[in-house]
Formats: sequence, structure tokens, C-alpha cells
Amino acid sequence: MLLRFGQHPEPATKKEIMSQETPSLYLPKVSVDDRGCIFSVVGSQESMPAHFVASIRRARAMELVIFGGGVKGFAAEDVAKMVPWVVGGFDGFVGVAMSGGTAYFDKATGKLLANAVTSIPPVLAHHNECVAIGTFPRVEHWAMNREHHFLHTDKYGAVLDDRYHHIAAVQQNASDVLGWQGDMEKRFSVVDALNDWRKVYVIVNGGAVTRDDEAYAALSRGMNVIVARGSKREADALVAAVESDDWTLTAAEERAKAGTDAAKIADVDAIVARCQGILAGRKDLVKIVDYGDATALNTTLKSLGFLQQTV
Amino acid sequence: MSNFADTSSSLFVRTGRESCEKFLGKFLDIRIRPFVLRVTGGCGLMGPEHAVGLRNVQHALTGGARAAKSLPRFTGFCLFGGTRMVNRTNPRIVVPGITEVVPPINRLCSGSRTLGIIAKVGDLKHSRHGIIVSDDCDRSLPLDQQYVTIAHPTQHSILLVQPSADRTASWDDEAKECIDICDHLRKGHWKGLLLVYNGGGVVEREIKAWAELGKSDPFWQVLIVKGSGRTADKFACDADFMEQHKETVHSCGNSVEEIREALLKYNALVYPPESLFRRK
Repeated sequence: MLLRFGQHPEPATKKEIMSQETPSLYLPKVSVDDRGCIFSVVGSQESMPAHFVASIRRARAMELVIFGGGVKGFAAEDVAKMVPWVVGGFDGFVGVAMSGGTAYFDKATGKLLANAVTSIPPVLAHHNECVAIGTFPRVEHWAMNREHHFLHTDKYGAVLDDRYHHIAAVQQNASDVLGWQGDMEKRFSVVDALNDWRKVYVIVNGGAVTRDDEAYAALSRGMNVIVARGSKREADALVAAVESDDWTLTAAEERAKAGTDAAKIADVDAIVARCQGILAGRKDLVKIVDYGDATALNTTLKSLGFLQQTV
Repeated sequence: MSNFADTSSSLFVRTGRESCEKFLGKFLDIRIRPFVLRVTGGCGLMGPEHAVGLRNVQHALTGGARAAKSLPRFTGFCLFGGTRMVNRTNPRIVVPGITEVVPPINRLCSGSRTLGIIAKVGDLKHSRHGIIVSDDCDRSLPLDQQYVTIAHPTQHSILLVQPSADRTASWDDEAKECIDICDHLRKGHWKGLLLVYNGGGVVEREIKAWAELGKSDPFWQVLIVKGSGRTADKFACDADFMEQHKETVHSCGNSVEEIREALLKYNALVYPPESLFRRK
């Protein structure tokens, strides 16, 4: 059957999901713009555009979940757990799911994949009547892939994920690029603007940016953070810090790179001290869920008041 | 049990052209219909013969004197001047003005939010009667009729706009800010309406601005209450102006029923669900 633009095939059944075969399309259930994914380019000093606000208002519950992190060091079976975990955990979610707005694609078929944390919002929007929005910084000059017509957003193969409802790219200006954390101030301006909304940051894997600009930035704002135990790197570092006051895993990658350089070691120590300061008195905001355990994720979300209200 | 902090209005101060995402975030309450009503009109210079009609506007917005469940009422976001005029010698006496029409919406219209926009037109003062926005009124009035303008104590949120910590704004800046906010919402496909009762020079400029904008986008609807005096009557009785802007500028009579009918026509009022299904 030929699909019209914007029409999507029936969502995969849970059996298909659990068999670890990913559907080739993750088009959203809800339409915000019939033409497809809205793409805004925002200067770092500008306010978020009005259409971004309008996209958020399409949600049916005042619930915001932000996904941060990565999949570095994941084996194939770890990656394969991600979609069933979030689909099961967020079953019935009708709020706003947010992440980085980018994805990778299969070079042979030209199809977008769902093997990154940033792919989670479109996955949720395909299975639920929620809204998927994203922000990412312009860290590189963009380029259009001539074969598959994707917009490359970095040098590592990430492209704009048109399965989102709305993506806002944040840039310094037309010439200068930002760092990997360059969109975080804008992202949190949206978070802060959502008065009376339930908000949670979900952390999977992740490195320095995930740690400093997502997990601990969320905690410092009094946001709940759900961290996936077993997803490696800074996620497991946060778990160790919360459960055992063990800070040896925090900034471990930077510490390994520092070697015996005293100045660099001091920098790493300062990072850890900063994290300790933020976590002090806020451990109750961190909820630990085993990566891959959809039931636990679902239960934790409900305990935070998610998945319960619709407008 | 709620306490005074829980029921206090949020106050945001915006300096220059900096963004105020937290105030704009008030419009992200998806429980509230995406409709923005801007209410403007007469304040200190409005005569008592017209002030008495303010009640018509209030009752039209809130479902009548007794907030009858069978009558439509306002739902959406209401932008207004965010201030209150109180008697200088006895601050318990409230001087009637257009800004007294909106706050009852808080209590009587559950599907609404009232958002005050205040221009810092003078040095602010903190008093036990509220934040003093302006100590300036017609000094030729007898002392017991002079008034002080304070931040209205009853509204969901306030945005105070100032060019800088030291410089003052003008009363026109309130209108300009409201236009900016409405324009932001317009781009998100909201509906809007400017409701005018009485008013002076500032209101005249605001009507003209909305009318001009209405030439290119029907979002900018204007409803003028004819018979409310001063600027409102000046425009409502200007046949050329009304004809030139007939698609977006409208007028209605100064009775509860006429105002209610017009507000319904321009989508500002919604019938409560329970009024649509009557028991036999």
C-alpha cells in the first residue's frame, strides 16, 4: 500500500518490538505540521521561536521528559534493549519527549535508525500520542547528503531526525560554531518556562556533556533524574555516587586522559568536587532504574506522577 | 492548606529586550484554551458616568452578576495593565478603572489565566499596600480624590517591563509589550481579541496599531464598546475608520447582553460544558 506523506503504517506490535526488529519507519501518531518536522534555527541570544512553543502545546499532558546520554561502549545487544525499554516504560505517555534531534542512518538503505538516545522521542511519538521535540548545537558546518537528502549535523554521521515534530538548532551565528553543550542554555530555558509541568531527565550512558550539562544541571535545578543502571560511563558513575558515595567512576574518562599531569588531575578533581556539591542534599531526586527493565521504568515514572494525567 | 506565598502572583522583571521565557511559559499551560484577550481602556481620566459601565464588561466576561452556569464565560489568557488605582489618603478605596474588570476572572472563570503587563513608568516603591508603580495623578484634583497606582494584588502573573534599572518606560510600553506577546502567540496559530472600553491617548495608539496589523492578518481583531466614552466612542463613531477596517475592527453596545454577544461572536467566550446538556 502506498503511503501518503504524513501517513504512517500501523505501529509495530509489542511482539515485533520485543523480537528486536525495528520498524523501518517511526513516524509520529500526532501531527503538528502536515508538511513534516518543523526545523528552526535559533541564535544563541534569541528566544525560542513561537512555533516551538506551539509544538509543545500539542501535548495532552503537562509532562516533559528529556533524554540525555549516548551509546558509547554498547554492544549490539545493549543497543537492542533501548527501544523495548522505553516503549514499555513510557506506554501511554502523551506529554513532550525531548532530546538532541539527530539520528544515524543506514547508508545502504537510507533509512533512519533508532540506535541512539536521541532517537527515543520519535520512537515514543510513534507509539504514543506525544510530542517529540529536540535541540542541538551547531558544532560543525552542516551539509546536505546528496544521495539520501539528510542534513548532516556533525562529522560523525549524525543527521537531522525528521521523525521529530520540531527541532531547534542553536547556533552562535552563521560563521562560528558552538561546543557540544551549546544548546543546553536554550534547552533549559524551555524547561524553566514550563511552569507547573512535571519534568524528568533520563540519563543513559553519556560522557562529560551528559554529566555536567544534563544530569547535574538538571539536579541543580531541582529536577528528578532517572539514571539507567548498567548503561555504562557517567550514568553508572552517578549510580555509584548515589548508592555508595563512590566517586571513582565520575569523570573517569577525563582522569584516564589526564595521566600523571598534575594540572589536569586537579581539573578532574574539581569536576568531581562540583558534582559532589550538587548531589549533596539532592540524592532523593535521583531514581535508579536498571537499563532494559521496562516495568521498573514504568513504575518509577508513575511514582513521579507521570503517565497519569491528560488535559 | 495554602498560604499567602502559594496564592501570590509571580512577578517577572524584564529589562530592555531580554527574553523572559518564564513569563512566556505561562502560555504553555495546555489546560487553558489558546486564546488571548487583551483588555484595555480608561483609568484615572475616566469619568464616573462611564466607570459605572465597567460592570457590564466584567459580567459579560464572567457569566453575569451571579456567574450563572448557563451563561458563557471567558476562557483563555487575558492580558491587561496589571495595576490598580487606590485612593491616596485611604488606600482601601479602589478607584474604578479598566484594570478592575479582569481580576474577577481569576475566581469566576476556571479556564483562564490573567497576566498583567506593567510598564515601569516611575521609580517603584514598596509599601504595605503593595508595590507602587506610579505616584503620578492629576494634582488639580482634591487631595481626597487623588490616587496612587499599585501592582494589582489579584492576577496570576505579572511582567514588569523597564528599559533599564535606572530608566523609566512609558504607558505606551505596556501596549507595545502586549502586541509583542500577541504576535508571538499569533505565530503559534492562536486567536486573539483586543477589547476596548473608554480610554485616552495610549488606547488610541493601541487601537490604531491593532487595526494596522489587522490589514495583513485577521488575528488582530478589535472590539470597541460603543457608549463607553472617550477614545472608544471616537473610533466607534468614525464611520470611515470602521469601514476601512471592517474585517477586523468591530463595535458593540454598552450592555451586558450586547457585549456578551459580541465576545461570543469573536470567540472570547465559551459555554461551560454543563450548560450544553440539560436534564429533562
